[in-house]
Amino acid sequence: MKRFIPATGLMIFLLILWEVAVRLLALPEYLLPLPSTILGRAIEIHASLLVHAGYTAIEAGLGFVCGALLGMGLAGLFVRYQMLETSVYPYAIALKSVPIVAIAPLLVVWMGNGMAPKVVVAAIISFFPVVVNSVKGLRSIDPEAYDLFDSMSASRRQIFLKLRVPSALPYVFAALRISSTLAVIGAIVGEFSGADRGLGFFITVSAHRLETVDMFVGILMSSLLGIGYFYLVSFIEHRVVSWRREALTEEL
Amino acid sequence: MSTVPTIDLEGYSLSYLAPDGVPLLRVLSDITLSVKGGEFIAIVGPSGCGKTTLLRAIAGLIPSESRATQTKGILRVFGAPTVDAKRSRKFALTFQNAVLLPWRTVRENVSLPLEIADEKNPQLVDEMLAMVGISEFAAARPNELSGGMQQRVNLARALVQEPAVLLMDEPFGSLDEIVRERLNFELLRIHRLKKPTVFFVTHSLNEAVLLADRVLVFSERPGRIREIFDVNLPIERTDDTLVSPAYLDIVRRVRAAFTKQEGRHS
Repeated sequence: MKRFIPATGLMIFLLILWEVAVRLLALPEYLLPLPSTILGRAIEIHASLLVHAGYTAIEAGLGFVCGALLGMGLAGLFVRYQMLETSVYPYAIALKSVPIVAIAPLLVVWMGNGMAPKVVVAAIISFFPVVVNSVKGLRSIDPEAYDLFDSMSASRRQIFLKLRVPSALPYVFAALRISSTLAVIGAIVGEFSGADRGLGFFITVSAHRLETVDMFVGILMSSLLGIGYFYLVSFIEHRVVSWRREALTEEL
Repeated sequence: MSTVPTIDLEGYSLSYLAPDGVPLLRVLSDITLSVKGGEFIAIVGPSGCGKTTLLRAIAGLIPSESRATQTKGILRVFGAPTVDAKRSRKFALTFQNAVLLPWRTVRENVSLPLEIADEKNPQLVDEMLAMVGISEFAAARPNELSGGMQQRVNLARALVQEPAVLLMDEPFGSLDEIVRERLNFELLRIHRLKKPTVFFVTHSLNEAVLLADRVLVFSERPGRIREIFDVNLPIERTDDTLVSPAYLDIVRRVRAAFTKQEGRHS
């Protein structure tokens, strides 16, 4: 808990600075509202806010799970079948350079206004870090450990399950942590392109009405959602990769 | 049956090839050696002389025909190619690093070879943990252990395979003198008990003479056998062996052979 104190202290300091500066400079609310106003508004509309956040959370969560599973599965195939990697991997990377913001409207045209396109956007955006890191992780095995398995005449399958997969886990989880926050961004970007609920929708509507306070409330909720997912994944990571905890804290 | 040597090398040479198939580096040159079952062989030689490569070749980790290596001469284990011996799980290999899997407990690390062979034998695992003296650490993770303890786990994992041939690449090289000495005596005790054929690569001449029935001194690369010393010490070796004139005499002769060739190149 101790390590949270500096960060929390900094946040409180910045919020106070913000509050004081806005009051001193007498900035109008539509430009930069007071933190206290934002917080008050969030509490006031919390019922509808939580509904919006819930939708976005489901879209991001589903997309994250799909993207992550797809990424891990594909990485496994890449490592097993060199041919597949050399033929497919370049396109997977090329696809990464297409801005997700540009794909989102197209997906809405194809799939309508519901959850589906948001889930797909979240899945696409979470997919890349996972596939890249999983391939790297599955390849990162200690050569001596490979020799050890080879000297025991282990099968390819045994080497994969008992050596490659456990060795890859720390890499995979590093990617999952990044992807979990990206998935929230993906879902919100998807909602920008057409939605009737969700945090992205809430922010867009507030922007059109120039309700800056509500926009800040939406932004606040979005980041809380991202942070929530990030810590959820970190929590699971500590459970699954517990053997690595000592090593990690040593690095820190 | 007993006439077939456990390990048989005749004029064995090994080179690494460049990608275009041209020999790039000659690592082993014209090795001829016949090892009886249960014999303890120690190999000493300068760094990079191919000791480890020889060990890997015997373990069947270097295919005799591949795009990266080229071999000449004969290398047979139990009268058959090394790959056959590997498939029938006759070898156990230990490395300079303990190479323990960090996500497994000590016990799970030791039982790994049995898992790979689709066998289950908890008693044997217990027995081996006890033999190397790590029973009380069975549930610990490798990173909670000291270097010496990790090497004990490494040894137990090799012994659980009940190997006919135990190939050890500087297993105690990273340990301090005291721990190393204790593990040497443990290894001797286990060897006398189980009688595997042992190939032991080391940098320590003292260790080599203390452990082995025969000490091979390798030349610099390309590695060839420069001299072979028969260690005619009593089978039972103790602390007293380390200060006995006979032991010290052999160590001195091995050292002379070793430094003579070192000097030639400096």
